[in-house]
Amino acid sequence: MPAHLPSSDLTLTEDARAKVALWAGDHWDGVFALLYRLTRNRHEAEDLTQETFLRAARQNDSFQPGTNLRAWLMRIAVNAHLDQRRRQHVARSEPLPDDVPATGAAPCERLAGAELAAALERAMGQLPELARAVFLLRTREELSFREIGEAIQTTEETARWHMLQARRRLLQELGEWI
Amino acid sequence: MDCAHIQEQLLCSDDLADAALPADVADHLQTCAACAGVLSRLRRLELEARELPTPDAGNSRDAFLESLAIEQSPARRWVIHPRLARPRAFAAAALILLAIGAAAWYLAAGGASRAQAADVTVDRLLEWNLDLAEADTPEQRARIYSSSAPALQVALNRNWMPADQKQLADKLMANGAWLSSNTDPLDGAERFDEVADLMLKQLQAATTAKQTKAAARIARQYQHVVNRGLGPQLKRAQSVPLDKPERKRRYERLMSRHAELERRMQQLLDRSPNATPKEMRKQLKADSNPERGLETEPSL
Repeated sequence: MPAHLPSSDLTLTEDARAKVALWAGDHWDGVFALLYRLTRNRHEAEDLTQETFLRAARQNDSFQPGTNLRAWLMRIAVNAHLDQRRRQHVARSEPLPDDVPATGAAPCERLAGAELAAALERAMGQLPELARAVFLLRTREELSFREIGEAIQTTEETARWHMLQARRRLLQELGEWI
Repeated sequence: MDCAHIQEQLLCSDDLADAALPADVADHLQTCAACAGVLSRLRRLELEARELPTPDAGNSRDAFLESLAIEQSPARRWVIHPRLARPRAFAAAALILLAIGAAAWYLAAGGASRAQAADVTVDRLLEWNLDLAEADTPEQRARIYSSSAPALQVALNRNWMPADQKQLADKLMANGAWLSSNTDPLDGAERFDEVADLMLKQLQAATTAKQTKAAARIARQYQHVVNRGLGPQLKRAQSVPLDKPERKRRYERLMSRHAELERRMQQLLDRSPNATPKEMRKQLKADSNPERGLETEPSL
């Protein structure tokens, strides 16, 4: 499903518009990058990025100045993604390009960077939704486990557990690739 | 401490740098090649994950800022599809909006017209149809359909449109649903032909009324329909043997209508040389380009 439209009919205030314009200027690319990694679909990521900033505009009063704005936006982005997944009930089985080698295949001694990246993409795509979100938030966004826990509405310890699962499965899936 | 415990600690650690490792783990790693190997692989994994390339977000941010600007009331709130972002226009709009500040921005938003929202809805619907037609596999089509259909339907329901534009939008919505599960190029060409016909009628009305902006927009949309929808579908239909008389008749009828569309376009240009000359001439040039490979005789 796309950027679903807001269920609320409240009009955005001037203040909300101004804030979200600034936030979009600074964090649009980062939110898009995360959502692209989560969805593995550019169009879906674009729609969800819009949805994220719309939600941020609508919830702008709940952001506490002085706290981590990026983490707050990432939390909204992850929630938007998870909400969409719940609505879709979609099994994540999007094919990767044909030239991606199977992860079980014996790797060449010199792996092209692109091949390894593709294998990693595939392996990440096979992770459970939450494990993938945690791995990305920690690795690429460098959020703390406490912030990640808040983002996925769980505890810091559970976030760590998801990270453990993600790393373990990725190492298994990638085998001798890394 | 055994290897399993050490490796578990590594797998859920915050930071894999040497300095961040607990002393007991660091000590163990000094003497255990297996655990040191796991740490090394984890570091490589994270490095590779951080360096995975991400496509450019393109114009989606500008489109979003633009969508804020045209949002006027709760009844017409919606989101512009990023693929429709026109780079220069939206980039310029974004810069202006940021420069003049939120208050002026809001005032500007209040002045945006319902027609503008309707135009963008039609643009989105058209782009969606063309994306569907260009998708190679049923799976891709299904994904494109499901990723946009609900939002487009909501936008269609919420945005008021003039009757002719509404007719076109409804047709595009229905065609989108059809394209999501049908790939026969002859059927597809017939649907795009109907869309092109409606657009040409709108274009004629706009040029008659000397609505040059509207005419330019419709000419651009028409150009997309012919170049990305009707033309490729006809070409595909041509490559499939038309072994049944009924299909051959339909193909010939489509080719004849295609020629008729070109003739009407030429008439428009002759009659209104100053109305949207660039878009229309471009279209005519494309229509008459022999490299597009459309032949009057179908393969049998």
